Amino acid sequence: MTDIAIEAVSYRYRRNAEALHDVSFGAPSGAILGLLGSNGAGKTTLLQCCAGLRAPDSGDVRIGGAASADRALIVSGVIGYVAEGVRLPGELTLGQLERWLAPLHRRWDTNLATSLRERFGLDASRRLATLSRGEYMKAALLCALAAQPRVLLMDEPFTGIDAVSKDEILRAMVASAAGAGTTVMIASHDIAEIESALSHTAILTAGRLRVAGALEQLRERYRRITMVGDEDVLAAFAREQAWLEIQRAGRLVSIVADGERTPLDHAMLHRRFDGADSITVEDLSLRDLFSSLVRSTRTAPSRAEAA
Amino acid sequence: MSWLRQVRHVFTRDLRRTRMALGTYVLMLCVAVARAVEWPPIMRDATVAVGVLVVLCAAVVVAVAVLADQPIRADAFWAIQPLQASAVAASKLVYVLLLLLLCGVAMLVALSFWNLQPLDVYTASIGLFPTLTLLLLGVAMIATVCGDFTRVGVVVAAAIGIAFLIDMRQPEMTLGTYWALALLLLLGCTALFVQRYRDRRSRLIARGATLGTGMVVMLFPVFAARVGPGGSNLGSVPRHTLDEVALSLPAVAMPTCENGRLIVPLGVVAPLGWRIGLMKPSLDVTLDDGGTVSLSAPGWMQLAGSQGPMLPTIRDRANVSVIGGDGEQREQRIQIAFVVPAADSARTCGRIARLAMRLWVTTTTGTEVLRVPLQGPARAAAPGYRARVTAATLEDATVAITARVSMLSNELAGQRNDLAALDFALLNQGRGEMVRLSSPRSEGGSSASELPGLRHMASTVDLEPYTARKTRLSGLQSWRDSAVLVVTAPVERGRGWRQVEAVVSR
Repeated sequence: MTDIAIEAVSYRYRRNAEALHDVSFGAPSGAILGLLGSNGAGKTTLLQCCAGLRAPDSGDVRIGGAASADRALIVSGVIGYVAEGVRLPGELTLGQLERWLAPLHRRWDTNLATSLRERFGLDASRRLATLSRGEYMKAALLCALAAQPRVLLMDEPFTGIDAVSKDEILRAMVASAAGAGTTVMIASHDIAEIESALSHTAILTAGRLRVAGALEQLRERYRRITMVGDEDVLAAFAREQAWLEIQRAGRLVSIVADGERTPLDHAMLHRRFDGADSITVEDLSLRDLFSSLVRSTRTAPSRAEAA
Repeated sequence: MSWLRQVRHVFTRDLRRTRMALGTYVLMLCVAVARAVEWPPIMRDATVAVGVLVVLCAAVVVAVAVLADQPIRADAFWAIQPLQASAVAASKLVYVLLLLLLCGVAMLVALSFWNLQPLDVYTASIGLFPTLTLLLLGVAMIATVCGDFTRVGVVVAAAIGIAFLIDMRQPEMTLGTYWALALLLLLGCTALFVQRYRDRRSRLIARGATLGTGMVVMLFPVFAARVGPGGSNLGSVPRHTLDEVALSLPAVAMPTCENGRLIVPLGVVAPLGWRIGLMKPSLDVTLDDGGTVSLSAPGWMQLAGSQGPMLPTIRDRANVSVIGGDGEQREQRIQIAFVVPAADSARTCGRIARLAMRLWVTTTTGTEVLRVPLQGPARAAAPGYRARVTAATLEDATVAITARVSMLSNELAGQRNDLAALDFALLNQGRGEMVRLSSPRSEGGSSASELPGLRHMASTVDLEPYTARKTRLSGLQSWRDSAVLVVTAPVERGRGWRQVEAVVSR
């Protein structure tokens, strides 16, 4: 069952700055989806559209089959949202905030809140205004997770948090999502750290969706091919293969290839480019895939020239 | 969670969040009440404008509460919680209501010291609720679109500054207009405030409209404080009361014309004890040759009846005779000097055939507000007034009686209980006699705003008989034993334009 369904969403800010253009993808129930993109790619805008904090100019966002408009799903408790820079009521202690939030959320789990607090090393008696940036985000995450929403939207939740804490939060998030059946969409620049927790990903560049889908399928689709050989072989390789990114160094050329448009089979490549000294086909990390996609977008006008 | 519980939930958190500012506000109210009831005495002498501080404090508290849950901030905490926008907005309005109620309670306590009466509560409500509510709602509106406290402060200060800069040429606002305008602004502002939370989009037009509305709403209390409704507007003024004032141009001969001024005598006959105000006189002069000239006179004048406005009031109740004579109702004549432009001087003076004078007339009568025994350090209180006789001498001498009275008065919603306008008389009911007193000297006059709509004035006046009444009192012991000081205040009875015409004979 699809929990998050985004259909042809476009959003334009004032002064004609287009933040999103015809973005469509989805995520099944229980998925942990990483929303990736460079700065200004439209991640935050998309998350806010999903949460109903912004109304798309066109298109439709459905969460659990219901239209997410005008905070309706936040009010009904279906969506949880936590973002970098969220302003918690600083005059309250964490314990007071938990007690204040508990009656608001139908599925608030006090035990989960307590265990998360202990896991994150937070003091319930400390005022939120006195917490460090990392602790502040942990408190915000605690509140979002303990509410056990059906869909949890997280915007850069790891900003200012140390590596150990990130691991703790990710583990807690995965465990919580698995336990409560929560679908998570998380926008982050910490691709390497969150990759292990993700089941799905969607990559935005300049407001447009580049790829989206299950992480395993994307790993199958995108591979890095490295060839060593003479100039004429390398030139033929670069010309004939469809690639996202190409790097050349002497007698070596390395491309990131899209399996939907070009063969990735090692034996077939050997047959086509039999003059090559060596050909290797490797899996791509999510970080490498993201970098290749972003760079390929930025260098698109000069692709033909590069080829 | 139901909508009402959400409102309560946010409201209780706001209370916790703003407890310091709220505590300061309550403290200010306590100081205001203490000043109003003169406890401790040092409070009365403090020159701090407590009323202004109370309003300032309330505005700060409201701004803090709204900024904590601002509608348009993308990172607002309430927006990502299962809270209905209207519930959050309503909780802020409840918060404003709480501040008003606290101020209302303080006002009631202060008024109870001033012998609270139902009319006072009504008067106080006129002064307090529409103006303070709109002021606070204006601040709340501005806070919904300003990012931080500093910006709110700048815009609020600008709004108040603009209100003071705009010159109000028409100082007239009837009570009906006042309430209608206040209600309209109140409802419109409340609806817009809630809408700001329901529609969080930060469009430029929406922000501008909210900011503009907030500023306009804030202008109203400032205007209201300056243009009324004053005490004279609180009740409907019967038009026919002007008919009892007879105006005439008794000069049948040519009026005098000297130094560029045309001196026109005006005759005024009014009921005994009325005080007549004549303002904005203008004169249309018709000349021998059929030409016309329009003239105006600067300033205004006030005529008192031969006995002043108080005697009939007291005599109606006490049936006493006035020592020194009751005076008599007679026509009073005043000379009004109209300015003749140099260009018109030659053709106007000595060639006048007809005069038509137009004036703005107000009539004032007296009402008894206070009686205080003259013996010992006596005190008395009446709605709006308090008096304490600090010294009194009765001497069998030329000046038969002197007294020193410490007077306090309050002012509700612009209903000015002006100490300088009071009249005094000494009443001896046992002998059925009364002597009018003048107040040639006063000292220690002060005025301070205690609460929104409530001002507090103090003055000490020395009383003695009018020069013409410095007759020796008979039965001095009786005066010593039972004399009562009666204080009357002027009450406006009527107002309107009057026109009188006359043909000039030669």
